[in-house]
Amino acid sequence: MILNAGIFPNVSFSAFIPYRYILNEKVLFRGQNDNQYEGGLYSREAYGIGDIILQMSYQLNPLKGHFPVLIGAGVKLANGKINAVDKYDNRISDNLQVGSGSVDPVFSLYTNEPIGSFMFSTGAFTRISSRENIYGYKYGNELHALTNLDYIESDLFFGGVQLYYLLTTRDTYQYGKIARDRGGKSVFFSAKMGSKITDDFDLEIIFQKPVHQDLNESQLTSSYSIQIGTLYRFTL
Amino acid sequence: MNKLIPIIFLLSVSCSLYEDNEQPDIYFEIHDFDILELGKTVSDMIVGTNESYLYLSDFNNNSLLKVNIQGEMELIDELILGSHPISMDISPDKSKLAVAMEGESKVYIVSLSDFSISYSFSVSLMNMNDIVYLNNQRLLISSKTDPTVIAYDLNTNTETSQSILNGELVVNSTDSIAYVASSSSIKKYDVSNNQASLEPYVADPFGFYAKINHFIISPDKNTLFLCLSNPDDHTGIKSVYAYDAKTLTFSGQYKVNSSGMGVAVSNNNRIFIAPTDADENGVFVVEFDAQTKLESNYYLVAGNLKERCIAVDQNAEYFYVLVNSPGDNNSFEPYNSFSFDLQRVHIYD
Repeated sequence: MILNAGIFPNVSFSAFIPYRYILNEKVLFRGQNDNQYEGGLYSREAYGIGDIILQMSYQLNPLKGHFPVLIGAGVKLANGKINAVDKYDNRISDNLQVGSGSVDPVFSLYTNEPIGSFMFSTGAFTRISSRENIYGYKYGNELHALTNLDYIESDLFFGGVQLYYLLTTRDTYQYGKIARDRGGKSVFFSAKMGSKITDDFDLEIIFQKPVHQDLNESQLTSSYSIQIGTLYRFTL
Repeated sequence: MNKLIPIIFLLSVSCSLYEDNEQPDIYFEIHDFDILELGKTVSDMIVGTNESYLYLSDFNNNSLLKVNIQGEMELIDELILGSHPISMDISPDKSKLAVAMEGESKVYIVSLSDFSISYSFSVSLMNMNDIVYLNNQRLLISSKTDPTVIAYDLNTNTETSQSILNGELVVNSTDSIAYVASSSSIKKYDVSNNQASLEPYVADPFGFYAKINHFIISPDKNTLFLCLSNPDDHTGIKSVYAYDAKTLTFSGQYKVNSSGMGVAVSNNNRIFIAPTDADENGVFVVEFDAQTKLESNYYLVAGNLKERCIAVDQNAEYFYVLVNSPGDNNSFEPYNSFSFDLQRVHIYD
């Protein structure tokens, strides 16, 4: 859930409250898990509210009416649980927990400009991991950069395309020991379309496909993803 | 313009934080696997003498498989034998393959030239578990349940009970020596005469009732390698043991963190050990250096490994293992879970 509120004419406050459900299934080889010595299917599951991001944004207008720039700074809280266990009561991997366990700074930058019937927008978002969590695990830093071109002419339908660049560094364990199978660069292409069901309520569907991936070691990736989202506007 | 400066600064600082100079270690990907899908339950494997073929005894399907290993691996022939072939050996003159059955008291002699059954004969043993050629005329055969090993003379078709406890057999034909790894120890026998005699060398008893997974002698006939496990404690044995073939004293301990499933030694003395358990990152066959007795290379394989089912070609170019990928076990076919495929692995130069 995303909450966004204007506080002053150029200042807004936003909160990103994620609910995460994580299911990881793998087939173990013999001897890989003492609790399941002969191997076979092994599932790990975690769910709940993830780390909440709070952010203040300030709008600048350096080019007099064009390309307004929204610059934001905030924190990612450490409220998400990091102690989910498997069916043998052993704590599951940090990267399968719904929370990260550390309070980290976030920065963002965003601008847009209407061009005829279209809206061009671009932005970047960073998450910088400041410290290890209590289990000695530190997530890698992240840079998200995206560019959108959306059709905005119709009152009933909207749609657009997006190019999304994601750069992640490796996670580390205590004392900086590098986690395998983490980190890399990805570029995704997305197509989205949606409908304004009412003046206050939007429904959208996004199809995302990776067009370039350069990942460290073996990482499982999806060949595509489909997201369905809703947006509800209200005033207090 | 001044308002843009902090934005540019923040963006450049953010980007500079993301430099990643870590290089991955040597890593194998799925397309590195060279696999012939068989889906069989194999009990023994042996590389043919001309390096062109690999022979597999298909335990569940009562047959012998001939696999071409020159170029792309291919199953080229299948020969139906008797009930549950369990062990096989190539004759010293390289012309025949002797196959012992677990499910019947019969031995099959297969001609390698045309891959057909030359003849078969009955023996008094039941539940045979191992067979070796002493020379071109004599076989030594062991059984899981009969107390002693027999010798079978192929010229006279006569069977002689030997004063040798049953177990896994290894022979040094040149010196007419047989070694037997039983559930308690290794013993050495002189088999030059009609009746074997126990040599005055016995390896120390294991101290528990062991299951012998694999027992071989190195190509130079100097070292015995023994893979054993303790059925009552699957974490108890973490090494493969080597013994001096002359004195049966310890000559090495090769730690793979679980019981050895199989071991193979190349002509140039490179030692390959198939462990029972997987590492956190997968199943690895471990190569050891014969001099330092330390690990020298790790080879990722595609699944769980099998007793006896590792073999190396004489040029030390490839080794072969039977692998069972656990993800394939969810089959609707009755009685056919845990089937194995053949994987060929290129040996690192």
